[in-house]
Amino acid sequence: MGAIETMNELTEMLGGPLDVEDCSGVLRRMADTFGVAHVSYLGITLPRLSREKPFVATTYPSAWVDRYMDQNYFTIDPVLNVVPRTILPTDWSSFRLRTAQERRFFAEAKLMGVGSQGVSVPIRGRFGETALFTVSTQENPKSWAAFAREYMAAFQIVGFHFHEMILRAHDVAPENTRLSPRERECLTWIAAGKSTEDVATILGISAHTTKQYLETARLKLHALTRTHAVALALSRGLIPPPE
Amino acid sequence: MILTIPAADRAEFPRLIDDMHRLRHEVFSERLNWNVTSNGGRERDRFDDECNPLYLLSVDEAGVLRGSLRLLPTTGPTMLSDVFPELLGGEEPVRSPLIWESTRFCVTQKAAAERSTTGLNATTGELLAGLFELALRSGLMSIISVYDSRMRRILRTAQATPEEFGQAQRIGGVLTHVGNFEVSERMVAAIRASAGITGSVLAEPGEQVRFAA
Repeated sequence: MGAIETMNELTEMLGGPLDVEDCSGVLRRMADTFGVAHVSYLGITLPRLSREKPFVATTYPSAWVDRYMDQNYFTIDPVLNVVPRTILPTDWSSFRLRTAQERRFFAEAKLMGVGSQGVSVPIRGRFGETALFTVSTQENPKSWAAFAREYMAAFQIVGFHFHEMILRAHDVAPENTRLSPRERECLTWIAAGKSTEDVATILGISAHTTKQYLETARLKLHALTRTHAVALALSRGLIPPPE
Repeated sequence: MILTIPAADRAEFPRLIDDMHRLRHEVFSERLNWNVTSNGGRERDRFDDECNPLYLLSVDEAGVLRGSLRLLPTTGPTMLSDVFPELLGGEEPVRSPLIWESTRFCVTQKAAAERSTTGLNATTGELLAGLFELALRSGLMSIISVYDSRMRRILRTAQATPEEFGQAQRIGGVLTHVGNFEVSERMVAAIRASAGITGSVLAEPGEQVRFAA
């Protein structure tokens, strides 16, 4: 399965309700679908959740989680000290490990199966909140670099949808499933059997922008494919039925 | 060379960040007379203070600031959604982890005066090349930006042609456009060609620390 199909499958999965008890189960399915060793989510500042106890969900072995807590690794973990400050997805290979402590931390993580390669994606939300979505593997650096490049958009989208699912599960305002006027317009024309190029011409916009509206609409609806998006939009009365 | 500095790290680059705010005052308040908030000759707004944007700074070999721009993810507050929603003409502000908003694009007078072999100013080219290179690496689909007619002409020269949303409108007397830019290998290649750039303009993490002061 390629990056796009993976992204679509996981986006669909993340459209449903979440049993908060089953977080790691959901993450495990995400890791398996991506074909990576581990996936983690950390809600650093979430609305309505206590700041003293950040929300953690991970597939990491419990032995590592225990070790991490025991050693207070949150004080030296570069993922926690660097990534929440930026908007850039940050590859672990970009961390400069300056102290023996930091090097030992990474060595231990590798030993305990966390993985030697990884990327952490910062998430910013509409409530000004920050979260982190991390993917890690035991792959070699070169194949990891190629994989991460191909899957970066998928990591961004899937991490963001997981975050929205966590917010929904904690009764923070539900995510916006309302289609914008342009999204509605584009989807209506697609429902009428027009191609992307046709829609672009009809609306007087570029193909790229048309694709963008269709993409954001599809992801809002958690639809697997464009056809699925049209079906969902029609069934929910979000677009008028074609004549 | 392009440095990428989150607002949260401003204390590590105090001189450059201060120079950036002073340049923004010079360009947006003094030269362009836009309706911006300045204090002591530094332009800084609530997006700088509350939203932790990412700054792209173009610096020369001696670490002197030549130009800068500011980036915000559209999943959080942006100028387009919070300050200029009327520019969207009834359309909802776009909100996606694959789309960032670029604002406060400016270049020093000294850098702007440099003669270019390609017709596009070197600093402008470097900032645009850095922006799209970074966006591509981050898996983005688009960059969205609000700009005036002068910037619009510069973007044409750079071959960074946007899709324009809605109708340009006068805001505080300034004719303002909203553009949506495709992030792609093609876009990066076109900008590099216009600017005569070959290869990355982004500083490696190790290189950046040399400019900390």
